[in-house]
Amino acid sequence: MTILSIIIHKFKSVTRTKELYTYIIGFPLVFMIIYGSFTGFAYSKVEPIKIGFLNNDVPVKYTIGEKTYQTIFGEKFYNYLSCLKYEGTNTSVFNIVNISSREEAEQKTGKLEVAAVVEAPSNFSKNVINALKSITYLTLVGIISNEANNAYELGNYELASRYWAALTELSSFSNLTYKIKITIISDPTYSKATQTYELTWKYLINFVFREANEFTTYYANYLSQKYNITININSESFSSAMEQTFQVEFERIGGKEGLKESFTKMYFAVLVPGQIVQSIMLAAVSVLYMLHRELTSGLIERIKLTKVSSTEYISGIVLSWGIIALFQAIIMLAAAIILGYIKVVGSVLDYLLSVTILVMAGILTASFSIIIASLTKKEIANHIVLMILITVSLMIAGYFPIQNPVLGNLFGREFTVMDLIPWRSAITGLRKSLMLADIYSPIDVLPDLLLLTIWTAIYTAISFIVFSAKILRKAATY
Amino acid sequence: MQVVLSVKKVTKVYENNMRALNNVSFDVYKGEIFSLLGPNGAGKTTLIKIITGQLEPTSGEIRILGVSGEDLLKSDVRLKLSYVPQENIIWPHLTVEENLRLIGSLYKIDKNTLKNIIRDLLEKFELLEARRRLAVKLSGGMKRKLSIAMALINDPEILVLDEPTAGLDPRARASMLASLEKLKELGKTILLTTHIVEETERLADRVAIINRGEIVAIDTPANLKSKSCGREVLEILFREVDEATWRKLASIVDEKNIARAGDKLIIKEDNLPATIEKIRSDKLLYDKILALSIRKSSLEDAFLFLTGQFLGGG
Repeated sequence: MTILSIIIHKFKSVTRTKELYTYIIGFPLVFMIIYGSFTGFAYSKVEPIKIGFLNNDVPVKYTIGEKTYQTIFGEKFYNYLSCLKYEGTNTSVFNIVNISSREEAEQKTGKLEVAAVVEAPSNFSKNVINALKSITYLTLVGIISNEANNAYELGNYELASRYWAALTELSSFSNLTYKIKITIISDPTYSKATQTYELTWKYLINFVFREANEFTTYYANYLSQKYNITININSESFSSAMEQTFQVEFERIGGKEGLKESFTKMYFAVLVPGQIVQSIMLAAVSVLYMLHRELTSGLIERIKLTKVSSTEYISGIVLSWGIIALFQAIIMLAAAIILGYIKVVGSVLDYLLSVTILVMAGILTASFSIIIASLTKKEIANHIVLMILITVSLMIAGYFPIQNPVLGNLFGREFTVMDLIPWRSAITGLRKSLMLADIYSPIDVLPDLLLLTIWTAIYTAISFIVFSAKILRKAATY
Repeated sequence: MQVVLSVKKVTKVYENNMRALNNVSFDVYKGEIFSLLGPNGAGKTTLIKIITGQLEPTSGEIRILGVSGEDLLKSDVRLKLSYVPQENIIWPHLTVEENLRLIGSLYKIDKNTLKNIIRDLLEKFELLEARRRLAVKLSGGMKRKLSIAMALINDPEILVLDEPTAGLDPRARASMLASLEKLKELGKTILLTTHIVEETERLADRVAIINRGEIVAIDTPANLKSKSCGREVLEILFREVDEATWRKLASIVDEKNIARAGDKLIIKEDNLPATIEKIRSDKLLYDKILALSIRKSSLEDAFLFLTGQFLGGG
């Protein structure tokens, strides 16, 4: 009850202190509007994204009837990406350079010579051919079965038996497992890297779709000739097979206006989460303001005389700021949606994850502020913290391309230099759960959430220790 | 009489070697209003901070309801003492009622009991009509009342008030004094600091005169006055008190019975009318007098005779 009471009253206090609105809502909204206008202007002109292509793929052999074919789908994918043009223009989507090794890829992305490097793994062709066979099976099995049944019902047993024979040969394509994987080597805080990431995903599906279409048609013709049967593939049966296989929604980029809109959306996939987290970070100034007021007005001294424990009081503060962070985020999100910067794509689980991340970021901010307030009671601390947080938030929010060397791997995700700034995992998590929920599944967000939780736990623990020792400590002796 | 608060040989020396308190000792009895009277900088606030556990003494001991030292930190006895500092300790952006509710919840008072306590305090401090107003929008007097009401939320036995009327206009001050008298009627033990003698004379059962970190005298206001300057004093305002004037006066009145506050001299004598006659008969002195009167002695006079310093309070 005590913690709840602290949370409620702190929340009321903050919402009634109008001068804090500048930091909590004002600055971030101004940032968003200015940057949004700038971005709309900047992306009115399309230009190729310079990327690298690292082809580790090895040729794959496959047999249709008596003929054996050999192909490298990695090369085909490279050519496919190279030929892509923005619709209605002669501008290429990608300007691709060949990359010979992983080291070169990391070097070039590190120096931002390329936005990202697309790496086709050694089993790319093997998986693609399995995918093509599987899609072909899923597309044709229903069609041929129906034709066989129809022939049987009409009493044309000989035709039916030829369909059944074709079906038997087709069954060699069933139960094939595959996972088509492309690795994007890039700095995710660099906006063009995220564009490359999303585009590559879409074009990979387009590529497999195109290849599957070609392969299925070729195989259907082969079966038709061999067994003297008719196979009519309609687009409906084909696309339903694709959905069953990939279950990834994608939108085609169509028309210049559409392209611009899509680019802006992608850009904000990077920027909006950064701005939301930035607004939560800037709230640290408000936390400090409130704490400073309590410290200088004697409220803390009075609180010391009550029954409340340090744990209860600090928990009340950090949780109330967690809730305030949630409200900030809702306002920022609403603004971003109204301004047309984002499209709502996530599931309920994605939103729950986003909410958790934002509340966690709020708690982290409050803990950080409590540490600062405990170490220095001087008002100048507010200004210093504001300057530090603005700089740090600009670094991690994705406004500018900044080198971000990888330090190692943590929870299955790369741990970079930027990850040493605790709020960054909130940004990368939000990108996945809020903005790119059509690409990432909720499970992909967990490593970011876990890292954020660890940072929050560390900072909260420190805030408990220093605030208890420096501020809420009662006189040692009477 | 039961001693509820005991200050034993408390000394406080700050890091810059400034000795704020020197060997201060006194007892406060249950149900009394005990006033620490002294000028600004006398060490009152330092002493209050030590009593309320905000500051550690360099040496000495504080005993609250018989408990001291580490035991005081561990026990709930410290909750029997509540404190209202000079500044209004309120959450400015909460309403009057919310301020009381929050502080009540920090004392872990159950919801229903708290509701009744809040109602009672709002009535007692005439804040009922203002209960939904934000504290920041209250007048100075109402803020101070709210601050005291918050200190009383857990029904403490001892209430420590540091300059309770500081910064209040005369009307708010009168209202505050009336509120404190009500608390006295309720049997609360109150320790208050002030530099305003009228407040002390009106409220205090006993007074400790503190000057430069030391307790100069402790007694009832009446005893302090009668022992240090008698029931009546002669107050003379001179145009100028120069060497010659002082020497002349000292030939008429024993120097020990003269206290000086600028050009104002306070004289204590058994036979004041006779002293006036002697002064009038001296032309040199008579020509320099602007005003002269016999009046009842005050704690201000007592302070002046005890410390040789002018208190300078309202």
